[in-house]
Amino acid sequence: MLDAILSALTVLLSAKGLLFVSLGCIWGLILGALPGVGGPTGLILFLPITFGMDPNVAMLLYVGVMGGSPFGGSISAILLNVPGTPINAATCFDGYPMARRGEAGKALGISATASCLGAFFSLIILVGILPIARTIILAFTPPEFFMVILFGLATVVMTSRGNMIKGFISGGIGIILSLVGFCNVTGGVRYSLGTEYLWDGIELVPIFIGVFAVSEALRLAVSKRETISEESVVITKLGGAWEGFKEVFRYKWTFIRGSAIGTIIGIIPGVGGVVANFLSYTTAIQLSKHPETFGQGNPEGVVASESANNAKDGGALVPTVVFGIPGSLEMAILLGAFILHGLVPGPAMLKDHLDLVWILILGLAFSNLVASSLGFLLVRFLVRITTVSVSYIIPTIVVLSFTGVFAMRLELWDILVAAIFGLVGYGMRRHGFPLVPLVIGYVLGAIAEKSFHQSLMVAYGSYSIFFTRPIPVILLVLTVLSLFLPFFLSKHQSKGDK
Amino acid sequence: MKKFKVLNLIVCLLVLLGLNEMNPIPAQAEDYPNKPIVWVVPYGPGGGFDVIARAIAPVMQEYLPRKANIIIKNIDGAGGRRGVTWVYKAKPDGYTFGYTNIPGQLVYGLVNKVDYDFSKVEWIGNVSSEPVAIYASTASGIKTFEDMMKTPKLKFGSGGKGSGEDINARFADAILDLKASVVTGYAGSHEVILGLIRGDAHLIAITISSGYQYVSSGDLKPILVMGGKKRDPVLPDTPVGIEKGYKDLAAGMLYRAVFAPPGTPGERTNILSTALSKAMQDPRITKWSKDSDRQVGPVMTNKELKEAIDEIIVGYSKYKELFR
Repeated sequence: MLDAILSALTVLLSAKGLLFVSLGCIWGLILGALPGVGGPTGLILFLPITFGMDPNVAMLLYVGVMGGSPFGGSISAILLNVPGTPINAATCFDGYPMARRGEAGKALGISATASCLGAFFSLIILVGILPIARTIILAFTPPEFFMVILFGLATVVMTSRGNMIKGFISGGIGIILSLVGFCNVTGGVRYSLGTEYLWDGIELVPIFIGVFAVSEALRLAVSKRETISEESVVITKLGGAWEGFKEVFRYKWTFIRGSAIGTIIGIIPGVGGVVANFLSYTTAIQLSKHPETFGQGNPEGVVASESANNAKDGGALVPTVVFGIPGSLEMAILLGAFILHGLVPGPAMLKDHLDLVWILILGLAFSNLVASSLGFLLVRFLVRITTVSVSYIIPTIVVLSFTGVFAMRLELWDILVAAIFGLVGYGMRRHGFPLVPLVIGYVLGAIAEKSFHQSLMVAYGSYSIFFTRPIPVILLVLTVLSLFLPFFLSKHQSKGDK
Repeated sequence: MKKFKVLNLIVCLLVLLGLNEMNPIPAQAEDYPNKPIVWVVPYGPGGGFDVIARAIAPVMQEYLPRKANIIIKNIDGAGGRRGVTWVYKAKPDGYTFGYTNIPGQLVYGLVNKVDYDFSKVEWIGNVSSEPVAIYASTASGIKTFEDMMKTPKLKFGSGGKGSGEDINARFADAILDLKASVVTGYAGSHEVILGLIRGDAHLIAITISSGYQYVSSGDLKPILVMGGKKRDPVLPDTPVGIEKGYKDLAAGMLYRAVFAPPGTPGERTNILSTALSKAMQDPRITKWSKDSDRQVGPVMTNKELKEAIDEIIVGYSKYKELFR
C-alpha cells in the first residue's frame, strides 16, 4: 500500500503531473462557472486529446477538471444566482443574497473552503472504507434505493414548510416531468407527443438552466436594480474571503454533516448526485434553531451546500474503483478514459493498479486545493462582478446559458425547452412557488419509480421485500419521523406557550 | 445616403462570399477527403461502442488520404436510434458515417416503425463482433448449463426494455424454454452485473468481453455461449448453444458495424473501409485490444458482413413478437 502511495506521489509531484492537474483544474473552474457547460461536458472534450498520453498523467488531467468544476459552479451561483452546474443549485439560495448584501467575497470564501475541505473529507472516508466498500455497496439493492429516494422526496415537504401546498405542486410538477418519455421498465412511452426528441424524456440541463439561469435574467431585467449588489461592496485585502474561511469552522457541524451526506450519496450508485447539495441544505434547515433565516443570506446555507457537492466526488470514486461501476456521470467518462488507455476498470483495479487509484485520490485532493486557492486569490476580482451594471450581466447570462444548453447535445429543441422553463421559473418565483421541490421531484421521480418496479421484479411481485430487509425499514421510519416530527415539535411548543 | 448605399453593397458582397464558402462547389472524388469526417456513436461517451471508436479513430485517420481527421460525435438517445437515424439521413457525401448495434436497432425495427432501413445503407465494416454468452452470478450457485436448466424461477437482469441484454435474455429464454422472468430497468450492463452480484437476479446475457473481467474476479461464471457455430476460444470450457441442440441460438451475436448513408458513392466508402480494416490490424490497436480486453474485429468484407447480418435478421425474425 505504501509503495502505491509513494509511486502516486512521484507522478503527481513531477513537473508534468503538477502541470496537468493544474491545467485540468483551471479548465474545470472556467467551465464549471459557465452555466450548463461544466461537469461531464468539459471532461468529454479531453477524451480525444489524451489518447496516446501516459495514462497516469492523463488521469491527473481528468481529476483536475473534476476538482475544479464544483467550485467553479459556485462562483456563478453566488455572483449571478445562476448555478454553473446543477450541483451548485442550493448554493444560490443563500450565496446570492449574501452577494446582494455586498458580502460576495465572504460567500466565495465559504465556498472555496467548504469545497476543498469537503473533498478532503470524502477522500479520507474513501480510503478508510475501501476494505469494506464492497459490502457497503452490495448492501444497497432496489428496496434500499427506493427508501433512500423516498426519504429524498420527503425533503420536498421539509423545504416548503412555509408553503406546503405550493411546495407540493412544485414537487409534483417535477415528478411528472421526470416521467416523460420512455420507461425503461415497462417499455411504454409517456407524453412524448409522438416525437423522438421527447422519447428520452426532458433532459435535466435545459430545465435547470431555464428555471434558474434564464428566469434569473428575466428577474434582473424586470427589477429596478442597477447592479447585483445592493450595498456598497467593501473591497478588503482578500475581498472578505478570510471571513468566509472562518465561517466554515463556525458551522463545523453543518460542514461535517454536509460532507458526510455528499460522500454517502456519492457512494450509492444510481441515486442522483445532484440531490446531495439539496439534501445537505434542507437538513441544515431542519436542524437549525432559526430556519427562517435560510434563503436570506445565512452563511450556513452555503457551507451546507458546498461541502456536500465536492464530497460527492470522493464518494463516487468508491463504486468506480471497487466495481468499475460509475458512481456519477463524470465517473462514467473517467471509466471510458481508463479503457481508452488500455486499463481495465473493474474489481481487479484495486489489486493490480493501486497506484493509479492513489493518483486519482491525490490528484483530486490537489486539484481541489488549487481551485480553492485560486478562488481566494481571485476573490477581489470576482467580487467586482456584483458592481457591474446589470445591462451587461443580463445578456451575458442569457447568451452563456443558451450556448451551454446547446453545447450539451447540439439539439435546437433543448434551447426552446430552456426558454420555456425560463418563463416557468420566472412565473414560479413571482408567485412564491419554491424551485427546489421542482428539481428534487425531477431528479428523483423517475428513479423512484424504477427502483419500486425493480424491487417488485426481484421479489417476484411480493411487497414484503420492503418490510423484511433492515435498511429499508430503518429508512422508512426515518422518513416518517422527519415528516411528522416538526409538526409534533411545533405543537409541543405552542402548548408550552399556553 | 450615398455612403449608405455603398456600405450596403459591400455588406451584400461579403454575405454572398460567406454563403459561397459555406456551400462550396462539390469536390472531385480525388479531393476526398478534404475536411474532417464525423464518426457518429449513437451512445454516450465512455460506453463500449464509444471507447473502441475513440481508440481506432486516431489510427484510422492515418490511413486516409491526406491523413484527414476523424471526429467522434456522440448522439445518444432513444436506445441508439437517434444516432442511427442521424447518420441515415445525413448527406451521403462520405463525410458522415456511424455505428449501429446489430441486433439492437435491427430488432426494434422489425416490429416498430423506424426511420432507417438497413437494406439500403452502405456498409463500411465490422468494427467489433462477438458472441453473446449467458453468465450466472457466483452468488446464484449455478455453475453449469445443466444447473441452469434445472433451476426454477430464474431471473435475468437487463438494462431496460429494448437494451442488448434485454433482447438477448428474451431470445435465450424463448429458445431454451427457461420460463425465466427479466428484472429490467438498470442503467447499463455494469449496473446489471452489480445487481447480479447483489442477488437481484441470477443470469445476464451479454457479449463475452463485457462479462469476462468478472469471471477472473470470481463474481460471474460463464454458463453458455449463445452465438456462433462452435466454442469460443476465449471460453473454451463453456458449451455453445448449437452443441446442446439449440441451433436457433447461433444468431445470438453482437455486431458493432459502421455504415454510411444510402447513396454514398462507392469510391468514398471504399476509402473508409480500407482505412478501417488497416487500422483494425495495426499493431497499436491489436495491443490496445489485448490490454483493455476489448474485442476488435474480425475484419470482414462488405459481402461477409451483409451475409452475417442477414442471418441474424432471419434468426431473430422468428421470434420478433417477443420484442414488440
